Amino acid sequence: MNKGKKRFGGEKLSGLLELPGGLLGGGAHIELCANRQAIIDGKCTVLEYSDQIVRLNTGSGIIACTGTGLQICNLKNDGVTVTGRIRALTFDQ
Amino acid sequence: MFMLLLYRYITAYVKFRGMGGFPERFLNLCARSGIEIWDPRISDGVLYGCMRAADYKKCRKNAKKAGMRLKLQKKRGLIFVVNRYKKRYGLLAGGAAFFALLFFLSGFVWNVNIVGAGSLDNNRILSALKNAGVYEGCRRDNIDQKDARLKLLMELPELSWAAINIENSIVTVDCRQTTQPPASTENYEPCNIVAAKDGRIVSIKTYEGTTAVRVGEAVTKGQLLVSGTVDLTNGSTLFKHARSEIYAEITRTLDVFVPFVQTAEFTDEKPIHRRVLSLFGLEIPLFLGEIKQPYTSEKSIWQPEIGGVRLPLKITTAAFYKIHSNSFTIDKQTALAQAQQQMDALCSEQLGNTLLEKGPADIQTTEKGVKYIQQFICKENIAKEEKILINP
Repeated sequence: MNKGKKRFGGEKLSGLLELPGGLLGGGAHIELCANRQAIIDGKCTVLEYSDQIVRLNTGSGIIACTGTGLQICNLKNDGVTVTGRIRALTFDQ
Repeated sequence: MFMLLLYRYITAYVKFRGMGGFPERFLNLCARSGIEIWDPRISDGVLYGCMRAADYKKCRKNAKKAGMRLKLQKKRGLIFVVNRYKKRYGLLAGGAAFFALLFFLSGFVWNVNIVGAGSLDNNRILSALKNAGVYEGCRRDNIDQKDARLKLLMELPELSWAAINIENSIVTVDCRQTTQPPASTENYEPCNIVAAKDGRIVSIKTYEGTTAVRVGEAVTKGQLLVSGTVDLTNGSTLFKHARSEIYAEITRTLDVFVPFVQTAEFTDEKPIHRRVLSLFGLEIPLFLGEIKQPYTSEKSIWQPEIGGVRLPLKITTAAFYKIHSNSFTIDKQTALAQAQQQMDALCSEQLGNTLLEKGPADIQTTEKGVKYIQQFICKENIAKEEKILINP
């Protein structure tokens, strides 16, 4: 309940400061370079890893990156870089 | 990317393989405990990846938690290469000797470059610099830049400015040549014009002074032709710098001698090579003995360069061609023909355009050869300045 309030407060503050929604709410920051590279900033853990799918659990949900020749380039505590030919990026709550 | 690879090579890393268990869990545990894994790849349930060599032992606990068995595949890095050769003392000694030599040699001047010398000969500047203590092979610390600069300027007055810059082992001498003012053509020193040779005057052009002779007169050497003294009507005397062109017909005698016994010289086709090794200005001959016979020589210098820097190593090769002489005798007719040829050449060289008329030739034949004597009538400017000595 408290977490939901905090997240709601973050969303509200983002709206007041005209920042992108979810930026202050603990969501992952994702950068896509065409369909070749996805840089995901924020704490995340690997749920599934193969050359066709990379599923990552971020604080705000699960991100599934599907495609071919996918590879985790750099896995750190505060981010991950996925390279390869990305076909789709989906979000599951 | 290159810097990253270099950094990883210097800090050393390992390639590993993880089998069984849960690779994703292992990756998460490693990320959480600060162990960086790069290029992870899962193929047929086997995890491949790289990590820093120092982290490999730390991640065994994570592997155990994830139910994986880790196996080292490759070790990469500088420390592994050093470890491989650490018992080879020769390499260590060689490396140490290399750096010691490099340190020792960097204390000397390797190259002396000259910039902005203009038409002045570089060899003269190098010679002056050597006298000032700056030369290839001298100790870099011994160079007193200010003193050497002053010595260089004093020895070469043609230089108006010079700077000696030392950059590592290269000395660059930047200099500028003096621009000399044009020499004054005006001369106001009082003088007379006298005859330089005996002859008969054919033309007179006097610009300053009082002419003392007339056209057609015969004059002797040293006779006054134009006086620089002008007597004024008020009784005083004015001394001037007399200027005049006085042409006279003069007789000149030329002679050549052609001996019957002559010597022809020829050189060997195959040269004898002599090499000298120069190392930091020290010259080491790479040969024994000397060539006593007369010779002609050609010199070539080989000096290696790396990246535009001349190394202080130079090999000078001199090719010596021995000269052999051969004596032979010629007859009178040939000697006479040679004498005529030589006389014509001498005449055109010494008389040139002044020649008016050729006189009769006198040929004297002796036991040793032919002497060819000929008189010429020439037209020459015989005006010669002679200072007027005035006692104050």
